[in-house]
Amino acid sequence: MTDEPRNIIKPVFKHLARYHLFYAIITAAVVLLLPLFVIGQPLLFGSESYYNLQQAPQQPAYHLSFKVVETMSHLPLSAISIIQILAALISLTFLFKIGTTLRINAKKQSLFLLLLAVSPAFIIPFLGLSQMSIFILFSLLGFYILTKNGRWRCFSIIFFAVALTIDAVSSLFLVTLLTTYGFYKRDKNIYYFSGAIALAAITAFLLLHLPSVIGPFHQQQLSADFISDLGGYSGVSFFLVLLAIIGLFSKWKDSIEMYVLFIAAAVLYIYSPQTVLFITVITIVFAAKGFFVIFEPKWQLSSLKNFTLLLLLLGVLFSSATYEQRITELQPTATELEVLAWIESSTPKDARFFTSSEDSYYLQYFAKRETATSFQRQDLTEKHIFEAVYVQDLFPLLEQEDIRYIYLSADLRETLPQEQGLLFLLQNERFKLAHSQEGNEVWKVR
Amino acid sequence: MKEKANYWLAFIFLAALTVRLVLAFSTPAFTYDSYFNLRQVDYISNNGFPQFHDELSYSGRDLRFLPLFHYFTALFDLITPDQFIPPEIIAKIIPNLLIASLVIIVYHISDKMTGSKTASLFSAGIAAFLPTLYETNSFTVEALFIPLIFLITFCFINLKEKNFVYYYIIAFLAACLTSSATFLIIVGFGIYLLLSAIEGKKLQKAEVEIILFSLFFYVWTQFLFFKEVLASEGMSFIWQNIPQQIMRWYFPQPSLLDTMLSVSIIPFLAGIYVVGRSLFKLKNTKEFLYISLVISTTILTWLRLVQFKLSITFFSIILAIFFASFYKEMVDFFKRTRIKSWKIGLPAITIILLAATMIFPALTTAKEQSMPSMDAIQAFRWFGETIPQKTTTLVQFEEGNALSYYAGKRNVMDDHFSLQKDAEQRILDISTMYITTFQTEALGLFDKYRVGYIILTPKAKSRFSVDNFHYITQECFEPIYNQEVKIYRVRCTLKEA
Repeated sequence: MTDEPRNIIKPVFKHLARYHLFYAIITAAVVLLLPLFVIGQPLLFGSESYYNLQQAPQQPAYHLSFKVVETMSHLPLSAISIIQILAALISLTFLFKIGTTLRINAKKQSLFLLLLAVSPAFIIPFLGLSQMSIFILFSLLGFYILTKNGRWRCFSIIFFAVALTIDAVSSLFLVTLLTTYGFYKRDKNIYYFSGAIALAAITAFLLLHLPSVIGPFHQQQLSADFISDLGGYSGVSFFLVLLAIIGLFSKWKDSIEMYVLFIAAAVLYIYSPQTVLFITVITIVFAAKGFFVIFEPKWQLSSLKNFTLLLLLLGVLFSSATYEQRITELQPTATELEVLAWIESSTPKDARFFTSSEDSYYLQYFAKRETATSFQRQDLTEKHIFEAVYVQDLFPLLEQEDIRYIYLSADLRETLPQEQGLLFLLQNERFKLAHSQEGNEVWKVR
Repeated sequence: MKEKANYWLAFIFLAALTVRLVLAFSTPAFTYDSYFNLRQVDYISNNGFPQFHDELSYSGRDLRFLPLFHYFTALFDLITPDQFIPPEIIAKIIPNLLIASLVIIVYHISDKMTGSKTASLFSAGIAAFLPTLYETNSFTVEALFIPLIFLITFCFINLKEKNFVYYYIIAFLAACLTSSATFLIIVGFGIYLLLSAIEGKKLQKAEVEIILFSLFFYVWTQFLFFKEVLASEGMSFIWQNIPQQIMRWYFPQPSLLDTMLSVSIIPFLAGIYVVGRSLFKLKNTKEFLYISLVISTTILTWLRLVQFKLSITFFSIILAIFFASFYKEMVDFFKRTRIKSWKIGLPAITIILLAATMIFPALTTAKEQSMPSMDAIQAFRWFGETIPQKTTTLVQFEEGNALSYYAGKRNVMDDHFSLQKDAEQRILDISTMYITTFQTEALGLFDKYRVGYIILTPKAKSRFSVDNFHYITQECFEPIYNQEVKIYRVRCTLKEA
């Protein structure tokens, strides 16, 4: 039953382990640049990017993360895109350097970096201008300095301070990471440092009125946000989840710290799917572990081993390729941008608009108009307006919110029922079609 | 002994096949869920590719499904000239042949487990007449899937033998390309690993490797075919976007009585005994695999992650396999007694009891298949021949594919719900169109779905307790067919000209 085909895995991994930073950076660069080439216009992905750009000038100076955004906000969007891609590559480099300093197994590190580079949870913050991208970069900078011996370690607090001004949940995870690092190094000084960071985080939360978690910026779903193959725009591939499950249940005594981090990340994710990045990173760590648990030992059916490895690689690649196709939807189209430009030039500056929560951030940034909707609103006004059956139900809601215009993008209109609800009620004489272009419509409320 | 057993096996197989074909050909109709597959086979025979965009279903929609079963049947359709063996005849023969082949697979599995030819023949006999397998007019993927699944398990328990690894891989590949329900066996393998770890049983390395390969291969194939469905429906993909209103038809609350009747009481009781005994006493690895499959099926059914019909089929075949162990134990028991006539008595009594408890339920299942009536088929055929346009026609959703098959007309809805965002709304609207007393309401819905004709079949009459549509008037509805089935042309519209 045993067969002896050529073993291709060992030499490939030996090569990868030697040059893994290079391959990780190339992979990340390709993955991040591909959507920009496909669309042809280097805009930022995701409504959160435009929320951050629009909010940054209004935030006080002590919101360091927003100050970082504000310094970039004066640049063209294309330049910000490139800076974010460079930030991603720098983040990977620092991850590599931290791993080397901590003497993490080169093969495992190489796989971890490669898997991270193709994971949606890592890609999406750097394809836009997300607070998470700032958290990643500055936390890694801080850790890099912290892993160095000597007095220079205290300068890491400068970078951690930026990461602490995002939200309470990110700060909590950072403190957990630091404590775990201290446990791993058996270094009391790290514990004290972690305690200091925790105090700083609590102070920042209480005095600076930081949100408990920033966002959300899309309709949240526990499963789809974690497993990108289920339609979410973040998370990891299902294949990595399978590997992670295997890694989770193998040789658990070897890495207790990772299980602590996993539990912390899982709790935070259940609390708010916006924190998907943390659980994704931990999942990829376990996926790398699971990979070696499966493929490192000699198989009795050697040809099956190569075939299974090929399946896995194809699966991850296919998952990434499908994701790359889908994320092009996270940018406003050229036609939408034209309509938003029309809104800016042709509607009163104080006009208040109604649109979907997702489109509201594009409208606020590109058209510089106030909107009545956002994902941060806890009430159901948006739902009630979209689903209103009679004009008697709709008009009081519009008046209550002082809505004078309604913006419906082509994608949004496709999701709404034609024969009832808002689209049907727009036929009423109190609504006038002010502008229309390729299915994107602007309606004036008289 | 082996030769004698082979003759008996051949006899059981031929008996099962004969009974199945007789029942299948007693009516020309197929079950409602067969017509989608018939249309796909027809399309593949003419075009070479599956029809992933269907102009007739829901008046035009995209489809995603696994096409191996359709290609498999289309192959037979292609190699046999239509004038000698029409496609509908092939569609009757192939599924029944495949299900009858379970007899052979079950025999060999039981033989491998028990080493007893006689006991294995009884298992084969039970598999031949399981009530749950007696939808003889059904032309669905399960006809290929069920034998494949058990072939996979047979290859798995024979991994040590030469070439069985390759047979396993081929069978598993085929199962993955036939039905997404292959995850039943993946979960079964997972429980098998778990039970083995708990029991401290040492597994063969090859078994673990094959399971890992199977897991990744299954996920990869499903992802390849269903990536849009997964992205669109997420976890709801498991429930195939079945509307809430009819969810209970596909995932009913399972009851012990229903299970016993579907499986038949003697295999059920024998199987429960074997499972109970195996869990607490013996460490027979081969039985553990099937016990794991029973546990996985039970859990998935309870969690409503697998359709009840499929799970009961799976369950009943495994119990048929376990009957061999039960029978062998009975033989060993009687050997220890002083009853001399047990050698004749035991098989005879077993055959009588099995026949008495299985044949009638099997025939009842065959008789109660959900199929369009001859009147409905005749009406659909007439409609297709008389009205050339592919106009949208109102029928119940179960009849949608039958209408498209016989009449070549667009339907408002059929029994494939994936990628249809308004499936629940359509179910509601179809009910309204049948039962409303207001003509304007009906006409509004006809305009919404561009319905040009409406059909009232005996099934619709029974479902909605109506003898006719309540809003029929001469000026708006022209009767074009008025027998047991009524067909009307819609003349009026609410929309402005």
